[in-house]
Amino acid sequence: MKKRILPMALGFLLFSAGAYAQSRPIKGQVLDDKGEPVVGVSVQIKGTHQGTITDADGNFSLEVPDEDNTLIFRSVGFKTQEVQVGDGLQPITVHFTYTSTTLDETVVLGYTAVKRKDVTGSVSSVGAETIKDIPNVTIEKAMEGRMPGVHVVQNSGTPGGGIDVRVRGTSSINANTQPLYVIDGVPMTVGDPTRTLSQIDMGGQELNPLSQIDPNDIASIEVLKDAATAAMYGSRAANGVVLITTKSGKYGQKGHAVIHANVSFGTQNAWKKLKTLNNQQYFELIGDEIRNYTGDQTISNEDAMSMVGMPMNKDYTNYLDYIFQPGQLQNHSVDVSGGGEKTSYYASAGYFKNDGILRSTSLDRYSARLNVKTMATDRVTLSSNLGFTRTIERRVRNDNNIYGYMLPSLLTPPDYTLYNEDGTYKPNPLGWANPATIANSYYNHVGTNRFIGNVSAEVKLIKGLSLVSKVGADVMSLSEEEYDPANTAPGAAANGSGTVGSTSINTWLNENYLSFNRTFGNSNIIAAAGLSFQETKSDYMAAQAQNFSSIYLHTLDNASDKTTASSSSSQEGMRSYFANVHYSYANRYLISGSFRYDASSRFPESHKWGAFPGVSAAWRISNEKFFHGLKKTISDLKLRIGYGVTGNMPRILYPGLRLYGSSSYANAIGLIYAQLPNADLVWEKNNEFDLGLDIGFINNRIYVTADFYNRITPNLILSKPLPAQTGFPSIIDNIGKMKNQGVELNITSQNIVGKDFTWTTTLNLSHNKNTVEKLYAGKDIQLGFSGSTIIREGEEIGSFYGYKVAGVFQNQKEIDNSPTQDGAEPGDFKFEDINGDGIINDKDRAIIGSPNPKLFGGFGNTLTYKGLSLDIFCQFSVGNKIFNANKSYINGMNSVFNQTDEVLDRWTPDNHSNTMPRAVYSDPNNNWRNSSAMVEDGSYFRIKNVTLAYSFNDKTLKFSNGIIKGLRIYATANNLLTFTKYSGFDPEVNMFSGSAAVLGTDFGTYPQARSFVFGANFTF
Amino acid sequence: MKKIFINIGLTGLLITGLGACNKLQYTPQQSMTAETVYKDINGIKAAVIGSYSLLQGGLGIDDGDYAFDIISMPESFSDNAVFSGTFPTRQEYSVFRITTANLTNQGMYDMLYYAAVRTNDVIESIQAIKDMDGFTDEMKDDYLSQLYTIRAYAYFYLTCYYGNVPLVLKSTTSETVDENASLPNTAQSEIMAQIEKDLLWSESHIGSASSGAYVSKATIEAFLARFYLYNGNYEKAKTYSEKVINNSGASLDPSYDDIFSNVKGSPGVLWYINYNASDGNSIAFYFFNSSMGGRQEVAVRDPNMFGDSTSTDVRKATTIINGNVVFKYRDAGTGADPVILFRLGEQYLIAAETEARAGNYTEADTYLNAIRERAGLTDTTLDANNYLDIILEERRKELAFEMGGFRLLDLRRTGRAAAVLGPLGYTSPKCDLWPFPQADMDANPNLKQNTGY
Repeated sequence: MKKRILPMALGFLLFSAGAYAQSRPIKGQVLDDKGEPVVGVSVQIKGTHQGTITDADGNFSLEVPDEDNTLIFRSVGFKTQEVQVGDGLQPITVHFTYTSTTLDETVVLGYTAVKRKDVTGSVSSVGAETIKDIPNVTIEKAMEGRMPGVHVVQNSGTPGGGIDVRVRGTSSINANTQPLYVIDGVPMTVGDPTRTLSQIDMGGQELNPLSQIDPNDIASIEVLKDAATAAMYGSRAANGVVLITTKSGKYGQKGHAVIHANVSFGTQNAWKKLKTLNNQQYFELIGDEIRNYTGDQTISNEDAMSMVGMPMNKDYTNYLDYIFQPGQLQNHSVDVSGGGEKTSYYASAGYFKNDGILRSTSLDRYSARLNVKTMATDRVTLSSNLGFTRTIERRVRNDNNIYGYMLPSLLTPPDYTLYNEDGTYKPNPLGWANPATIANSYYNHVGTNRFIGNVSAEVKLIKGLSLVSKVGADVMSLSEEEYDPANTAPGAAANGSGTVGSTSINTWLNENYLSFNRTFGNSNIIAAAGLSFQETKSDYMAAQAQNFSSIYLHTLDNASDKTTASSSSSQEGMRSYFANVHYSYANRYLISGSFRYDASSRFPESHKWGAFPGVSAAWRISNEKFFHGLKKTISDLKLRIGYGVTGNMPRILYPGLRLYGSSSYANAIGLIYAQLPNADLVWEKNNEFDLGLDIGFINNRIYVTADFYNRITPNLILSKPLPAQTGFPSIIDNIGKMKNQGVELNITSQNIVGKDFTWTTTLNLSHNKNTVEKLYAGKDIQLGFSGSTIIREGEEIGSFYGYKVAGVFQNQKEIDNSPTQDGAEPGDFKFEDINGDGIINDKDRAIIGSPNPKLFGGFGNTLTYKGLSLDIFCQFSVGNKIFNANKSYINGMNSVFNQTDEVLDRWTPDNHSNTMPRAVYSDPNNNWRNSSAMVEDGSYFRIKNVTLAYSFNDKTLKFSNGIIKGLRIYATANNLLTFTKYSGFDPEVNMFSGSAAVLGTDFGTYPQARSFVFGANFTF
Repeated sequence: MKKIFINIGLTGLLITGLGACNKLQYTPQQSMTAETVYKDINGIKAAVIGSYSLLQGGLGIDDGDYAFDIISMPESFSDNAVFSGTFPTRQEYSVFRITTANLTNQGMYDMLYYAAVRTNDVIESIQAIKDMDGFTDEMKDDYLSQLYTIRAYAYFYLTCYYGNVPLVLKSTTSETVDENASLPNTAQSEIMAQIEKDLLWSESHIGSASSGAYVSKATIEAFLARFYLYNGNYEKAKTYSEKVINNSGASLDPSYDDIFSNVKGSPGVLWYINYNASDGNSIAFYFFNSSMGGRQEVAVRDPNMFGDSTSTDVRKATTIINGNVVFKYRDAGTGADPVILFRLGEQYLIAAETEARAGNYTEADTYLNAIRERAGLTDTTLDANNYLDIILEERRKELAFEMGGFRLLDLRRTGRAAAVLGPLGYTSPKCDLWPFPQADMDANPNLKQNTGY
């Protein structure tokens, strides 16, 4: 009966209010669960737009119409509460409880997990929410621009192609520079340290094994940046550790599974195209080249063309227009998750397709995952995370390759067609690829099967202590096929040339450790200690054949000459002991220590083991008593400090042995002295100091994380160059030293938190200063495009090297008054005489730029209004230079190559350009040697991702009778706008994918795409 | 509680057990340790054969391009060939402006040294073998003779192209690496003396087997003839060339074209470097033009070097095709063209020149006209005034685009380089030697650069 009385009483109240009074004052105070006042809480009368916010003491007061009885209390970081206000005692006290904010989210640190607020090191995270709207091919893209200190560069636009990730700069030259990727506790194979994964040389770009992870399955990505935290992974953690956790189900769902279905379609195009010369401009250019070369200004364009042995055709093809196509993106995935009292599960299946913006390039990915956890007994919990993926990639040669698309399309004379009248391919007049042959006849296919998974058991021993035993595997097998039929340029001489390759890399892991988590009074201890054992076996096979019976059949059975067959294999292993403790006292004093003792088979016997300690501490000042007064403004303040040692392995497997390798001759078995040993080689070690500050304002509405680090790598493994008279180019040794210093800043601000409208801004900024401190005997190392990159003491790694252009010689007098420069004539580049000896030669080369940005980061804004949300994410890089190696070809003006329209501004006696030299056949001045004319500003600001989404509310979805529980539709634009001065296709570029030191070099690289994607997320 | 302790015990066992069971050592699958190589005769033989493979190139920065470069760059650095491709480093040869940073230059220099110094390791290892079952002294001498000849070949061209190169005669190991890396320039005369010593020893110790892909007695004698000719010891050059012509059993291939279309079957080829599909070279690929499936990095400089269209010289069609394409190497697909190092035709021309230099014009005529007749040309008569011009011209035509840089080295040894090549850009003394690569100058402070660089 009681239930009935209350509504009746309320009805009476309502009636009387309506009759006698408009409103009444309500006063109150909002306190958090520790009794501290909460400032800035929005207090709103339900169903209206009226409201107020709490003051510095958490107090509020507002007039509430008598017919309204519900107040809604909202604030960032707290659970939204609805409070009934009757005629009870005033002021009312509202006890606000913290929601699980980012500070309460669990951060996985490897063998342990702690809450974010208890993290003592430097760890960045990205969650599923962020990942879901990025038209992701690979997981690295999810980190791009969103984590301070994590520099992500997509080396090329190849679907599924390689991405370069550097955590806190580059700390190695010869060893690995990419972070260690660990998925659900299993270290992932991201390549082979000793060689490229792909056995077919495609130019500078490598396959990316990370494209085999479906981003839809990712719950979170954590990057352990500082050495104190990363030391948990010891000898492989020098470049940071990326921990990937896949999604899981939740216990206690009462059999009610949650089903998500995601579908999206998109289109892609090149956001920028270069322009090449048309026929007339091209003939005029060749004319100029020959006239300037011969000194005879009366030669006609036609005669000039015949002098270079080229006809003057009337046909015209814009090859660049031909090679690009509208790309396509498709993504379909379904996942089911749920759980009962004892078992939880997550299962998913996905299909992703990306047709690239260059013809006949694509990536298809099929993925499936099953994550299950079950409490088998009271003490034993079993879990497994199993993921299977198949990817199919179709690639084309690019970077530095005359049989790829880019160079032939930019440089082939325009006065040709792609096809003869009879429909056969017209051979490229340069002998390079005819782009139509790549699109239609060239065959390239890489199929990769990948299984990554683990099965583990957790046995509770005593309270807080359990034993975890885990077996994991990463099994990758990759098969490649390539065919250049007889009607293509590279296949012509051999009457068709085909290659097949198969690669298999299998890693097994076994880890057994004790895990401890217990609170004693004010003390909390989280710890783990145990052993890890890992073994990797790699096998390669390849075969090649020529003389094919058909241009359509690419399998080697159709070839009469089997030319080569090869196979190779290697094996390596690691064994480790590790321990990790996090201790916190009274939520104020936090200390973490870790120790890893690693052995690797790569080292000589006496140097096999290495110790990698890390220690860090944090002081949560805001929880101190004396801080209470400040807490209204500064809601959180934590100071962090840490020091750790991490390691990096050499890229070769047996550096300590004097080895003979096989080298046959005349079909007889031969062996040659192949490796000069170094029996004293040890790990590269990073010693890193990190100082950090976390500070939150106004209930953490504004939250700032700042870090400073100083990382020294004192014993870089380098090839010590030897003169050829030793019979060897170099010997591997610990001889270099490198330093990285940097500052990272991350700011999150909840600008507006309204009932219907919210606006959140995030900004992250990173600065890293790399210095190569020591090289062998102070000697430079030259790499890159004909020595365009130099590693030099005192300079940044990857610095560009070459001549400095001081302008263009405008007349003979200027040449006569300048240092001696062989072959110079008016209109040629004037190079600076850097050493002042009066002669321009090799000694006048200098550092002409650095590919490393001075500042990079991301800037995001999320606005929501009711069900509508708009997310704009921008990415920027400031101060980085690009070595545009294309220029010596596309602006070379020294041969029969077609050029870009930039050369229309070339120097002529009538056009006194000071930046673009004259056209002259064979370039006697060598204008296009590596110089500052090829170094461009690579700074950019890019609107990377814009997503507009609408989530339908329950009311709208009512029609489905509860079948559809949620529906979100969205439109995303990726790479929408890019602001850059760079003249090439894209400022995010590197032809030397996989190189530690050669960065920011562009040469015939597959450009990036702009994409538009439309999709829907259903919840059933 | 009992169960718990069992669990802890099991964990302990697991941890220590795993820790102990694996030594964490894997045997290399791709290579073998030096100690195992020289344990038996098969290993020794494989190491000797490996030294031949060093002459194929394929190591270091020049990678698979070495064979093409070592043939075509000396030719581009003469009036025989001209740059027609895309690699700027190759262009520098064609215009006689090689820079010290030139990587093609470094590739050739490196490869010649790799062949010489890694062969030292085989020589030392074989010399150190005592009392191995079945390894006879004859076998040992035969192997060493082959190895000395390979090393001599590498040093001969190192000193011809680069002058006073450091003479490194020890293997590089952990112990000797610093010593070998800092050796200074050695006088050319000293290098030549070492080559002569090695060749003379080998001539008297080489086994009797003969196969074109390997060093034979005839090879060594042919090498000595060339060696003495270049060193101005014409009397000995005459002796050795006539030894080869008269005693080696080799005979002039009746068809000039057969020498190149069938190197391995040619009766006049004394030593060639074998290539097959799996270790193919890029020579034909780089010489052929695009319509032939190549990328013509280097072309014939003077398409009329065999005379105008009325010329009856059959060597023209063998040497040049399609206007300016070098045609002595023809397998652009697999790159299995053998590269001839020594053949009888050259010995005839050495004999002709040295006989003429000795005043024996009749004998010289015989040798020269044997070559001319095969080429489809009429006989000629040498005399004191014309012999050198005629023989040099004949050498140019007979040996164009073959391994050994005959044209360039002929012009240099006769003091004609500056006069003949000057109009193309050759300057003396700078162009008389190529520069030491900058990388070697940097890595060895005791190395002195050649004049002009």
